[in-house]
Amino acid sequence: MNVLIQALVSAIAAGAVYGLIAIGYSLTYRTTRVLNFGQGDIVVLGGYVAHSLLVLGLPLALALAGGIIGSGIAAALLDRLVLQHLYGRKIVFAILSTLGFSIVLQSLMQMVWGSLPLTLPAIASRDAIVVGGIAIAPSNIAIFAVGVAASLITLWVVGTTRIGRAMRGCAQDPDVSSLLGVNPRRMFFVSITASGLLGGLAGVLITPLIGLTPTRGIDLSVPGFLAAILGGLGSLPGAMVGGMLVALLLTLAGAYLNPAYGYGFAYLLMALALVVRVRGLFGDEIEAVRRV
Amino acid sequence: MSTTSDSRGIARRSGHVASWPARHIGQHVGLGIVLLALPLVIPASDLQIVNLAFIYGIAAIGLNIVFGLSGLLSIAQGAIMGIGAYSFVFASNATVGLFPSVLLSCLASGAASGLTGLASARIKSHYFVLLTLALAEAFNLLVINNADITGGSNGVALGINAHIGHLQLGTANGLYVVVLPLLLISWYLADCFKRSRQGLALRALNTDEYLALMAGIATARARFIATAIGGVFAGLAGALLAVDDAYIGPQSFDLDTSSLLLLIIVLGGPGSNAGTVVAAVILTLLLQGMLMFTTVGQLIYGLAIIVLIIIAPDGISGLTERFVWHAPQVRGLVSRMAWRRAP
Repeated sequence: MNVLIQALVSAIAAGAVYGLIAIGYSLTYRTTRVLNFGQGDIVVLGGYVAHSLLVLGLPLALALAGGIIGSGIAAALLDRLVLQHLYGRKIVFAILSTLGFSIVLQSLMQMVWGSLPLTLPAIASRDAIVVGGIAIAPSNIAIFAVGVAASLITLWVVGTTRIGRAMRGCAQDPDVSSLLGVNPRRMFFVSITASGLLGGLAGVLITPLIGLTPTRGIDLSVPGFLAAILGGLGSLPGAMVGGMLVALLLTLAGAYLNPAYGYGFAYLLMALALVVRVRGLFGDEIEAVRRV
Repeated sequence: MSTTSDSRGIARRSGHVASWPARHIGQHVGLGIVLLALPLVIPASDLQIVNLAFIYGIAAIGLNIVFGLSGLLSIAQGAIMGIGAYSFVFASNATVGLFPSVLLSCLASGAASGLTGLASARIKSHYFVLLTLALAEAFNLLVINNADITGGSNGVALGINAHIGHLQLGTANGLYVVVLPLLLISWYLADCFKRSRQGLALRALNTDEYLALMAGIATARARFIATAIGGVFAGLAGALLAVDDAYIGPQSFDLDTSSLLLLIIVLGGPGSNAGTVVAAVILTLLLQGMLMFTTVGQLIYGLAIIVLIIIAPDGISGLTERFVWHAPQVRGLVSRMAWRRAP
């Protein structure tokens, strides 16, 4: 029982971060229908940029902010240089181009920062406090708090503000919303940049826990994909819940089953979720099954 | 894809055409002599790369049916090749015999690929991409973590000395004699499939699924057939790769292989078999040349994917169409040189 509770407590930090990545996927998917395979690498880039700024002598808070902005810029470039040319075409080409973007970003990071693992200091103490036999690290609580706060802010912006309404309009019908004075391409740009910023935040949060290597992106992409699918692709609250669920399942699988597989369980769960329930927990049935 | 105006194109589309080798027989024989003389001209180490290019060409022809013709973006073709390669090696190490082993590998890959096709009836577009990603990585993890059966990351050696009569398939020359005809046969069969009723159905399905449904096309069955056939080609390629290397390991069938095969399709022009074969040769030669600078090579590779998708939506076949195809005097020449078929 203690093992179970301990697993739950350790999972919350990773859960919040997976949630952030998944919200990035869902946000991009909702407005542009693109599945961004480069999201994991954008997350890693945030950690790297923050690391470099820290080495240059900036205070931690500024360096982390710089990392987040760096990821945002990378996502903005992806949209401006690549995706803007592809929106009129079949969606598979846009998806394929993000695969190319992921390879480019990975090799650029390898060239700039090398393949040796780097890391960032945690945003709070990592010395665990023991409460009733359960060890809780303040840094995990901090990651959880920041991650959930950022997710809630995103939900609020997309759900209630004018720009959020315009984004949702573009998701439903770009042509009609352009008749109402919304520029769909600008909305595509905004949502991809926003998911880049969220990815950067996820990157600076999770780096102290898992470290930085140029090829780490795929290990972060897959739990993110899984979280987005479990919650229902396109649903933002679903992505948040999905992130928590994925972290929990992965931690439990690591604790009780074969730990050698690690992220492998995420792939297995993703295949299962897709076959058993395509629309996830909060997704739209019609959207998931009929969208060609 | 835009030469719909001439009546010959329409005639070809409906399938009433002279069979493939019958036209331009002279050029075909000429090119055939060049290809057959290749082993005498270039050294064995270069011939090995040509073999590799042809093997990837066969796998890409299979993926072209799945992605180019049916529009299903699958990133599992590398893993499906791997399933074929592992079944081939296990079967031949159990002394099943060369031909039954190859047959088995084709069947195993076809079945695995067909499973994704079954799933594609329910799991569409984005979800299908993710499903194939999950399957590809699951295959890799299973291979790496079950070291007692698969040899893990170290892979398995091919225990037999593959030969047909006196033809040693372990040597570059011997393999070339087998791979070249197999590539041409695959190309021919894929071309036949593309022009068959089923291929026509798939192209309709790719253009507009609802219209295809209205026209009475059994979409789920069509997708299943397409993926199963695409998988058979991948299985053949996997078995050939195992013979070529006399060894298989998970790194030969990872996501990089899948993305190389996709890039071949994009460069060749989705749906064009001739373009696929040409692109397979170009890209494999380029990649082998770039092996010495890994990081920069990766960067160029990624940039190439993006640039190609943006500037050449229909790949090589599209470019010849856009710039050359409309000039009548060069049109015949290009058609003869590239054996190009109307879409």
